[in-house]
Amino acid sequence: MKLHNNIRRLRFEQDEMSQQELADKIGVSRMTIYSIEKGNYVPSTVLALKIAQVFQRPVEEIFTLLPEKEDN
Amino acid sequence: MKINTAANPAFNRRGAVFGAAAIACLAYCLTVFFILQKALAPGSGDLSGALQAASLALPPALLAAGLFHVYLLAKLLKSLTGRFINSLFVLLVIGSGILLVSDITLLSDIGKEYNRFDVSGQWAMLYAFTAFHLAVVIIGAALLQKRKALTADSGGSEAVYISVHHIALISGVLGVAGVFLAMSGAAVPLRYAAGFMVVLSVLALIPLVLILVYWRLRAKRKKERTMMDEKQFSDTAIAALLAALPVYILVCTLDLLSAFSLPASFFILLLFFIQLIVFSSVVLFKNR
Repeated sequence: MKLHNNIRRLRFEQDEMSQQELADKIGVSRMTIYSIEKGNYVPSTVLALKIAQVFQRPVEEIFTLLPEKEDN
Repeated sequence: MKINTAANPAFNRRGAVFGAAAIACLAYCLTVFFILQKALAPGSGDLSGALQAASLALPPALLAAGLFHVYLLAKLLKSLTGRFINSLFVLLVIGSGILLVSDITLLSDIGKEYNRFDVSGQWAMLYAFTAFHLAVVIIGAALLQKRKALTADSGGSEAVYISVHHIALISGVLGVAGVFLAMSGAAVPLRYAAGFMVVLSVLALIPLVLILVYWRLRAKRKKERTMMDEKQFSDTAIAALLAALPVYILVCTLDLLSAFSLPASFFILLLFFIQLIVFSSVVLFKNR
């Protein structure tokens, strides 16, 4: 299983919010947001909840578990 | 990175005045060194009154250059970008500042020894160090005039985090070079190698310690709960684990080479600096 996320899409839906703006809102580095978006880093529950709070969406709408095959 | 484009003439004017003063002071030092070297031949006797007065002004001139280094360092730290060239210049400013202290020591040595010994080596070092200070000061003064270069808001905690690891990486490389330089016997006789190695290691670590202190103070001032975010903690943990590997590899290699007759400080410092290189390289690789 792989953790898929919609952060990139949600950022653009929110007035093309930049990675840096999102990072500043949740108190992490821009590189952390980049790594989460790329699927290179799995965020903690607290961080996932903070991201959900920024986009005002439930966590499961932002992060979903996908089988490896579907992801490709 | 947010760029502060607001006009700030006072800042640039101050930078220009400080920079010009530092350049003038270092140019003065170079001129006096040149005249002194000619005048201080063995058996030349006492200096003339004018030359004595000129040499008395050397410590204040070096102090003024040192103050500009401090000013420049403060500006650089506030505008860290996380680029390697930016971190390298921070390290050069700190290195040049440290060498200003050794200039005073060299001058003192020359003053005591010129009548009995050949001091051409000390003069050569003094010229090289002063040329280095001058280059750093000129580049720094030019950067202070480029409004965007040193008035840009810092790239934030991330830039500091990356710069710390750039400086740790360079310190590690300098440390390894220093350890081998000391052990080669090229710089000092081998009986002084252990002490020389420790001195070089301390010098290699000063920039790292300074930027770590700045990082801590910055986090405190900005009321950041932690100095790193969770991914940076995770990367640091992985890097720390990987940095342990060279210990085993190096100890096995040294055992095979039967190199354990060398001083303990050699192994300790070599391992420490290799670990520093691996640690910072892994962190930077994971943050690319």
